[in-house]
Amino acid sequence: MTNDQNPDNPLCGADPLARALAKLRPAPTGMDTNRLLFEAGQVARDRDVTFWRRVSLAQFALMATVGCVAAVLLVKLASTPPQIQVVHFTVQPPPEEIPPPRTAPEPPVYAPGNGFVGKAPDPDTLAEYLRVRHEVLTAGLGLLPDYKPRPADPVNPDELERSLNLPPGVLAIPQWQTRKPRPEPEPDSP
Amino acid sequence: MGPDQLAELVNRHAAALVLYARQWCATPEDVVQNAFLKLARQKVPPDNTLPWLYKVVRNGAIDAARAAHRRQKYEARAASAAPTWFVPSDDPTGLDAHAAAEALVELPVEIREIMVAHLWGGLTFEQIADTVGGSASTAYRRYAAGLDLLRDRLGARPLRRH
Repeated sequence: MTNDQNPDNPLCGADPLARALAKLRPAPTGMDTNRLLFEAGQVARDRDVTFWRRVSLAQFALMATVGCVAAVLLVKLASTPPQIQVVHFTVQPPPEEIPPPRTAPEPPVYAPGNGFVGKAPDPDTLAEYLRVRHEVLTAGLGLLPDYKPRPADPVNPDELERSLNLPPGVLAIPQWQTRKPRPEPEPDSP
Repeated sequence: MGPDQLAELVNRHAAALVLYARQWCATPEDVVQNAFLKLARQKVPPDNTLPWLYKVVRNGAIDAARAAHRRQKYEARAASAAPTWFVPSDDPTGLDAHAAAEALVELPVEIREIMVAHLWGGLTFEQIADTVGGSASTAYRRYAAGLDLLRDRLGARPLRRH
């Protein structure tokens, strides 16, 4: 007799008839317990097999879908003609080289007692200077080269005098006047 | 649910479940066997296994009775008249098993099923109400009415405590 059928079970209550009825044991069943447990095991196994079968089918369907999509993409890529890029080469003339503006070389600054100071001249300029110096010391000042400053913008003195309301001839700027030819040096008398 | 747990359930409650299923159909063993197989098929075992089994057995027994309605009436009467509901008691002062079975057969099915579930199944009135429907107080009232009817039919006088 199980605990549930125990007449002392509080579920039976205090009723004596209930306790007397609970003492009666139900007739044993005609069920084959071993066969029942065997079939229960088969049912549980079939449930697991069904579950994993569904998982496998789902996996297969997913892989088939992915494979079909990949195949379609590959076919599409294969059927697309390759794009050939044509490159045209043209020979362009070299750009015109703009010569740098000519500037007069800065003469070295001579400081008495200190020699030449300032920025060290480049060798070519220094060589030219030394050559001219030697020639002047040898043959005189007449051998000095004419240092021509950068030509300024041409100025018309007449127009300038008119614009400034000056009497004509006021702006007698020597460099704007025609230079007289330099007299030739007299040859040394023996 | 493991096989050990299932075997323990079968050994402890199969007889009471068969007695319970006998209230409706003449093939209670098949109904109870199907109930245990249904339990084995569950992925997650129910929280309250015993009330769940009683509910499944009840539904299965009612379905079996409906499936063979006309023949089942005859079979139900024959099964109900069968005196082998209980094992004969060895206690001479106890109730007669055959008489108790015959008295139970005379009870209305809605009262009898509550008495069987409570006295031999061990279900509480709340669990019985969940199985058959209704409230726990209704289940208790029917149980008390069934005891009164059995007392009249059995002619049993309340045993006095010494």
